[in-house]
Amino acid sequence: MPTLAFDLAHLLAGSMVVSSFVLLYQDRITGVLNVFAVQAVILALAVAFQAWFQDAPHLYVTALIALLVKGIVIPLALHRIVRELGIHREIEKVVGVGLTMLAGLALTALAVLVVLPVTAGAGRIGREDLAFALAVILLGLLMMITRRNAVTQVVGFVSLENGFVLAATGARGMPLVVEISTAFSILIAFIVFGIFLFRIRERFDTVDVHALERFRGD
Amino acid sequence: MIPSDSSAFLYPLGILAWITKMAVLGAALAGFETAIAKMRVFRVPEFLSGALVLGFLGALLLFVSQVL
Repeated sequence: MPTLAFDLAHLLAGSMVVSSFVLLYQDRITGVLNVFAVQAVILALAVAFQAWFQDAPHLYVTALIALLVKGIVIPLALHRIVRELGIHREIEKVVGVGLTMLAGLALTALAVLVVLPVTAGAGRIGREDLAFALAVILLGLLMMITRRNAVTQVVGFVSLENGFVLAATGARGMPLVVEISTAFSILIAFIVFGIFLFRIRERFDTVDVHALERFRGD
Repeated sequence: MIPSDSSAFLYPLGILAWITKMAVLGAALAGFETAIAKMRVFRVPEFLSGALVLGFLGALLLFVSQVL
């Protein structure tokens, strides 16, 4: 029987999957960054809802971290990087959007079909959260594979991490210290990415990673 | 949440919720339509494939909520 709590959790987790699809589809770089910020806000809402539903106040801190770090700091920093790299008007040539979307659909169906039988003993809200979290993770991986621009690959990586946070809050009992250290390591990884983006640009005059293939040692 | 003996009260509430939902969705659609200058004809296949994906996604979401 559907309940309001399940419907809300379903709506928020489903919105995250939909925003992952928008990320896969969007080809303007500033558009990608804005959609990513929206996804982080949805994640914060989903985590805050879980905090209310599970009566676990420490999850509110997790929601706040998601909102501040992934919803505001990382998108703003990426906007700045993109402007400094001079690619903020660029339209990325995404190869085969239709095929990518079909692959994304297949991955989402796979996530649902894998998670639902395995978690048969768990609660309904936890199960559907886990299913959609796995879908978001796989879609983030797909985005990292299919994009050519290093900036959008970074966005794919951080949206993959959104999926991890959704899974961790859906499964009860994640300690706060884990979440804080994960957020911290994401920030560190992000700084490293930023430095590498500028290094790649300095070397190759582009952040298209296919330029790197000429320098393989074969 | 709402006590079950007040079922007569639930109908106006349901209608009110429905009207609110429709108003919000309509406002979102109007905002979307005015934000886009024109839908170019040569992009129609893209919109159609987007619609296909959204349809599949809706079916998946419904499947999850039905199975659980």
